[in-house]
Amino acid sequence: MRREGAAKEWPLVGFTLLAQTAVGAFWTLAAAETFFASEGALFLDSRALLVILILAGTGTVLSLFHLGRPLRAANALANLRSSWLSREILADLIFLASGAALWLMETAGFGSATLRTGLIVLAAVAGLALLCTMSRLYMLRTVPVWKGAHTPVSFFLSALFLGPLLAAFLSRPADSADAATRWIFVVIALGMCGLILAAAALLTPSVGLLAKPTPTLLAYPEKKIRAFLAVREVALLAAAAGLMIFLVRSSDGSTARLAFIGGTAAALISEISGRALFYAMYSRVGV
Amino acid sequence: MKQWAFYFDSSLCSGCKACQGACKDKNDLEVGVLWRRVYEVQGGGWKKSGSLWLPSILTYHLSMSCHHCENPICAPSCPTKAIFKRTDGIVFIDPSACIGCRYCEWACPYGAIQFDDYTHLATKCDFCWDYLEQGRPPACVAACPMRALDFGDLEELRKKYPGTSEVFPLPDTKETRPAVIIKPHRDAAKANPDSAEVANWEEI
Repeated sequence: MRREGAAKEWPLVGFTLLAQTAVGAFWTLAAAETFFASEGALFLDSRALLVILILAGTGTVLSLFHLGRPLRAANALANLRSSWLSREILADLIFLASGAALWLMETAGFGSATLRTGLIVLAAVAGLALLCTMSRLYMLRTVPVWKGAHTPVSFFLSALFLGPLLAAFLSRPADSADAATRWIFVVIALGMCGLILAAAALLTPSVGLLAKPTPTLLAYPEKKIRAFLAVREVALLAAAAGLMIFLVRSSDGSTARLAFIGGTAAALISEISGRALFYAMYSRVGV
Repeated sequence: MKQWAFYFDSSLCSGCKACQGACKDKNDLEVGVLWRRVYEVQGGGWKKSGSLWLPSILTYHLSMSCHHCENPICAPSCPTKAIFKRTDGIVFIDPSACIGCRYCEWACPYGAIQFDDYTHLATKCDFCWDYLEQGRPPACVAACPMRALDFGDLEELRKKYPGTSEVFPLPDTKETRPAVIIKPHRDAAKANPDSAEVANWEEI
């Protein structure tokens, strides 16, 4: 029976987005802490780390639902020599383990500053490795629609967009210096711009394929692709509008809060739809 | 090194699917799982010649299983090392190691990896290795009433049969180097993405 491509990969939509959000938030908070060290603001506190760990952990658990035999999941680490999927899982586990160690240090109040820095660097590098391996595993030679640069571009920009948004939620302006908080929002704005560019990059090949489907490529449910595309574009605009209102009206408490929450919700919808679109676009060469 | 391979004569195949049926029967495959699939390629239409409308059509069949590629793209992709190439060239899936991630299914350009919804594992043609050990031909080869299928060592088959591995709509063979030799049907020369299509997707 001809299968509907990879359009039903909801566990992977969840896993990739949650992992990217967690990594992006970790990077943002770690960078904020480094840049604003003199102000003494602690961004990677136990609460922020716990939320990041819960998100990354939930993503990892969700990925198990993608497996036919989840109880054998440990086998996924068996082929580090040639499988990008094995490497992805290893990077994910290192990110989780170093994040958990950091959280334990913050909660129990032990460990030196050097150890803390070392663990932050390890988690940040593992996060980078996670995003690289995650991108690479989809870039199969036989799947031209995933092979291009738009795959890593969209994955990294999801991390640099949703991550800072989460970081903004997690950072408490009352505890930190104004400059640091402002810096996070600059990152959000940059991420927003990047995402719009990524959307353009991501959609180019799909538009090309929609224009001229060939019998050598598996068919994809075109209606679904168009629906995901429409939701993504509209939600992206709504997210942009919400965050712009927030940036302009940040002095007005209730309006700003509403705009930020609305913008974030729209951003989430846009990202989920965009990732579902990514999987729905699956089509391979051959039969 | 030995490399078991299939030979398929598309000019002889009538599309009866006896090979497909024999494979299902021998391997007890579930509904929806096909280790051997028969593609019906069709195309063309009416063409005006002077005052006459003449049919200009093409149709042929391709009976395809796993090609036990010399460079199988599925094996290095597998995170569990469940897919490996045996010393006799057969690409084999170890069902006790497979986690059912379906990554191999995404990668294979021949649709050879068939996910079994009942066992939740990736499955594929194993070249009837047990029959080979008994000196018997694979079930599909034995079942073909047109004698369109043959098997043997790839090098020996190449000497025995001139042929190709690239017939529309099969992919470029550079990356995977499939261990299959196909004698194309005469209509295959006219088939391309603009003129022909697989007409029985619902069956495969």
